Amino acid sequence: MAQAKKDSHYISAKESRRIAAENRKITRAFEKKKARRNVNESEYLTKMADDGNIVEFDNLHTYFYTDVGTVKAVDGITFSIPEGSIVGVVGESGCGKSVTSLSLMQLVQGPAGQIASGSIRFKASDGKVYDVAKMPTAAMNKIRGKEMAMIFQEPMTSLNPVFKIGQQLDEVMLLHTPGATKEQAKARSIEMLGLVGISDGERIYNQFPHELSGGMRQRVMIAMALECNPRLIVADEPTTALDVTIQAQILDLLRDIKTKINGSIMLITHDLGVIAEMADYVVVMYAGRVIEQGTAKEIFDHPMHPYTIGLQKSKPMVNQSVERLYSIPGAVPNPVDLPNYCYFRDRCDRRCPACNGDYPEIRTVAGTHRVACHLYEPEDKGGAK
Amino acid sequence: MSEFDYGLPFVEEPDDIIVLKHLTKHFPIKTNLFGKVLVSVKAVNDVSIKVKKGTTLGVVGESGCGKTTMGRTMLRLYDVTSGEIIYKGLDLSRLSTQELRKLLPKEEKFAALRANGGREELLEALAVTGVNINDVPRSAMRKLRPDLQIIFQDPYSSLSPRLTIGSIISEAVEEHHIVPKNEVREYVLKIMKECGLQPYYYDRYPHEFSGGQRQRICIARALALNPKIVICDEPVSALDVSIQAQIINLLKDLQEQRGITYVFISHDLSVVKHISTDVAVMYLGSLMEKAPTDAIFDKPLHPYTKALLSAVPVPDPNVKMNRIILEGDIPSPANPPAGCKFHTRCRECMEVCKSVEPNLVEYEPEHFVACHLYQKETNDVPQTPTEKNG
Amino acid sequence: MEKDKRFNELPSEPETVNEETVLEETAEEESLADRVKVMSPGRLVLKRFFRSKLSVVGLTMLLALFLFSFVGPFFSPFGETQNAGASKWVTSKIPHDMVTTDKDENGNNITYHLLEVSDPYQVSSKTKPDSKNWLGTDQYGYDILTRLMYGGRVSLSLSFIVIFAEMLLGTVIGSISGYFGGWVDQIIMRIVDIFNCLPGLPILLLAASLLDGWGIPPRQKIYWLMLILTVFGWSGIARLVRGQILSLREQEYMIAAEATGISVRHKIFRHLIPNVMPQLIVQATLGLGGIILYEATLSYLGLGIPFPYAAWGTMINSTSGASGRDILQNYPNLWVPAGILIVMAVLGFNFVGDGLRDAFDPKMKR
Repeated sequence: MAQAKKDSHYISAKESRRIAAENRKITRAFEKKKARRNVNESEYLTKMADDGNIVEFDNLHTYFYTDVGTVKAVDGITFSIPEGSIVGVVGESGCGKSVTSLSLMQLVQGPAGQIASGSIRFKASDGKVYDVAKMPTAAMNKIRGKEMAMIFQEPMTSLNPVFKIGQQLDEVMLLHTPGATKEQAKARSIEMLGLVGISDGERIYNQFPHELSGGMRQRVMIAMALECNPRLIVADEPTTALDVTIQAQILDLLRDIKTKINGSIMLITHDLGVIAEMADYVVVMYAGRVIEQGTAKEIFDHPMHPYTIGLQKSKPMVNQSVERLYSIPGAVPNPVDLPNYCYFRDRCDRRCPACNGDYPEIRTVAGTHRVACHLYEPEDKGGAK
Repeated sequence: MSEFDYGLPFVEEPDDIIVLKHLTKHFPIKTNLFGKVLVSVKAVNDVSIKVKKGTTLGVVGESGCGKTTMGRTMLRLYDVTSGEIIYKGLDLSRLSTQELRKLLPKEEKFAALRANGGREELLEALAVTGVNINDVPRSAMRKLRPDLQIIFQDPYSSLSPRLTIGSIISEAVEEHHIVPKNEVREYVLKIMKECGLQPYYYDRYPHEFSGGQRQRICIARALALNPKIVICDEPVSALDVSIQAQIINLLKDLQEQRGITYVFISHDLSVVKHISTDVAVMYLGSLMEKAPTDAIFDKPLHPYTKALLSAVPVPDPNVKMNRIILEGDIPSPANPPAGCKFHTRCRECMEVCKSVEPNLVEYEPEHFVACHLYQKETNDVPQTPTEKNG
Repeated sequence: MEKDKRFNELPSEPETVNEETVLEETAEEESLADRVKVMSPGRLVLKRFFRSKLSVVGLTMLLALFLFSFVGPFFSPFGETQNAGASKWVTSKIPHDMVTTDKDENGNNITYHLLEVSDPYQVSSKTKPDSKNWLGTDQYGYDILTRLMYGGRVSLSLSFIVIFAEMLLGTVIGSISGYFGGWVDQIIMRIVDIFNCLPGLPILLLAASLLDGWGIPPRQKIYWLMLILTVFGWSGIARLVRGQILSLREQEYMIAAEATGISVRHKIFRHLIPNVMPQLIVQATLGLGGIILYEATLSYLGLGIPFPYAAWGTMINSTSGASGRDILQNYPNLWVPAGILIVMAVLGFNFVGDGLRDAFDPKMKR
């Protein structure tokens, strides 16, 4: 039996070749479409479903065409980011939260990774609404970094070590503002450094990244993101690599910045504590899908999905004591060839007969609180509750 | 005061398994032509701690506080700069009589024993005095390794990519003849099961496993040697929350079954709180505060501990923490500030803090703190806090 | 005291809990882990290798060369130093005067001008390609195609033996240097530096002429050549291995090996060397091309494999003799094929080496 298992564990050469050939065909078509130039704007201009939002993800699918099969990293997610709010996306590694943010920035690593279908509507400052999923790269370059900016997890590697901080900051400004002079760029950069709480910006401006500590670098990254007055900041695990005391500083700064620039923040993290502290709205993802979403209060006070509940119970807290931590058994499923039933079924402790059926649709349970679980389906549909 | 007390803030007790005495570890980063050290990173400075058998000492601190260095020095992966690391209850029967002699403390009363003590007598004496791990000859150190194990933070780089899971775990088992050669496989499978690993993983390679499973493999590797003490160096920091809980529970279960003593190094206070019996807070290589877990979380004394505790985000939007946000960055351990290491960021900094390094004192029973606010024995009149400038 | 009590109370209850959870957890993991197929480590490397067209081209070239050199001779009707029969029967006429004792009318001795015709004998000559000798014959009448095969045998086996010896030497010295560090490392690395700054070609020339001077028999020369090439080639490998081991030594699995008390021998041979292997293989493959070039150069200069044994370099050397100009201009079939084979071999090894490097590099995207 062990032998049979071992054999089926490895993919055969024939299978691998077939998958690779298929993938090449698919990804080439996508790449070609993205590489087009002089595309008529009408092709990717669209309308927001709700004018109060700045970003709307609508049934987004982002796939990675790998040699062992198609990885559905993001598999039909729908949520929106209202203007002037912080939306937290939380989930464990491999749940697709980072890919969601990269899709929004159109930074998914090609040619394997592609936005397969769905749309991401983004409202720019001039009132135009772009569908990022349909935009060719050339058009995307114009709004990326200007209208929306990203802060990455690793402040150590996201700055180029051979250029001075000032040069890297100026570059962003000069790239997106036609006609800007070097002096203007420098003034702007120092102003931005001041905004992120670096008092001696003049000195930092002339330093190299390696001369700064991790916290300082993350501040510089934030300053760089702010350079062009973006309407949306995507922060992908901005404090994960930092110490707690520095994390507190940076979170404080992010909140502060949001009110100063009157923008929105999409905060991606695995840390429930950070989410609870920062986010107005919370989106919980699992295996590429949104399983629960709502305001922070709804999610933390009345978590409904067994995964969300388990996640909260399994995290030890400084202000509480438990003798034994609750632990969700098993591991996150590998996102290749996922089954059609609820992805959490095998780890769930509240499994019911309905769970053997199709993947549960996400439905509104109260106010803005939405959850994808058979337990909360209306009676007439055979829900268990 | 016992005879082992060299100005230690505590008294040794018989059930202590680890006693660190003024442990100091400096890494030279700049030497002159003749090998004289000009600049060194003062990773661990004068740390004295004791750990009771079967308990868990949590060591918390931010990056650069020397917690990892301390853990590795305790395993003698680095040699100490000064100070002693005493272990009691190690399995010394693997050592030769000659080697045992060298381990006796260099005190007058052991002179006779050292000269012509029998093997049994030596073992008996060493069981009481403990062994300073730095006295162990290099060649003999290998024989003591099974008792002292380590689990690393990064489950990806801590497993050799070209060995199967089975050979990773069985390698050291064979090396130290833990079980007879023909029973190794069976024994390893038993350990794997204990750590929640499937038997058919035996012939697979590490890259096929997720972080959580790899960490289980690391635990199995350490556990297979029947260790007395395990240094856990951030074992769950790289893992997802749900997997973290699994690993923490596994570690706790193993401790209860086998009576292992853990030194649990982590930056995550909530995890440390959950698993530890005592907590030591380090900052820039120095011990700031050490107390039983409940005492430190309910009533932190040191301003740094207070700030650290308040900075932990709580997953509950209704709790609005009264946050103490520390200004500035952690100074470089190569060039730490004079006086109290924390004074540059401390809100309650006094004049004396800038020049005099505070001693670790037992402010309350079992609650040790190194801060001028709590120096009971000093004759100085407590000074009023001065506003920190800048 | 209080803590102790808590500990003493615990075991009875949690043990059962543990048993259950462990079993349950593992049962779950089993089904999840087996749902997805993964690639075995070997297939992963192979797949990445074959993805690159260049490495496939390189591999094909090498395979063809090996077949040509090692299997080819069995199908050739000619031997390495066998006259291929591209010769003609000639007679030589030697004129000479014979003075006799006969007197002519003037009383002088009579001299006969004679033309002595020898018995007919065979003479070899270079020929253009024809149906019998597909690439013609050289000036000694040897079949060029056959000699190319034998030359390939020499070049390929020599370079493999040399690279193997270099790897062995370099790995041992490099790992000692990297593993022990300190003054051992210092000394070894300075020796490596010395070997690195010796100019290769002049020294090889010197050594080769020394061999000539010492009267080494031609058959043995090839072994000396291997030795010399090895002595001057190991330093690069040693440096590579040392660098790799220095960085591997800091890996946590090495610290874990130290902490579990594994012996030095096992640490080096089970943990370090296998992890250096990929880089070594790449380096060796790339090095093979270089050695073939060296060997050809030396043979061309007449210092390598001596006539009558075939080597690609020696065959190109035919352009340098007395009839060199004639051969260069009129008989390209004598030297062009050998040149092409050298280029093919070197290119092939480089392509494959590059392909392997990419295949082994886990950081390579796709």
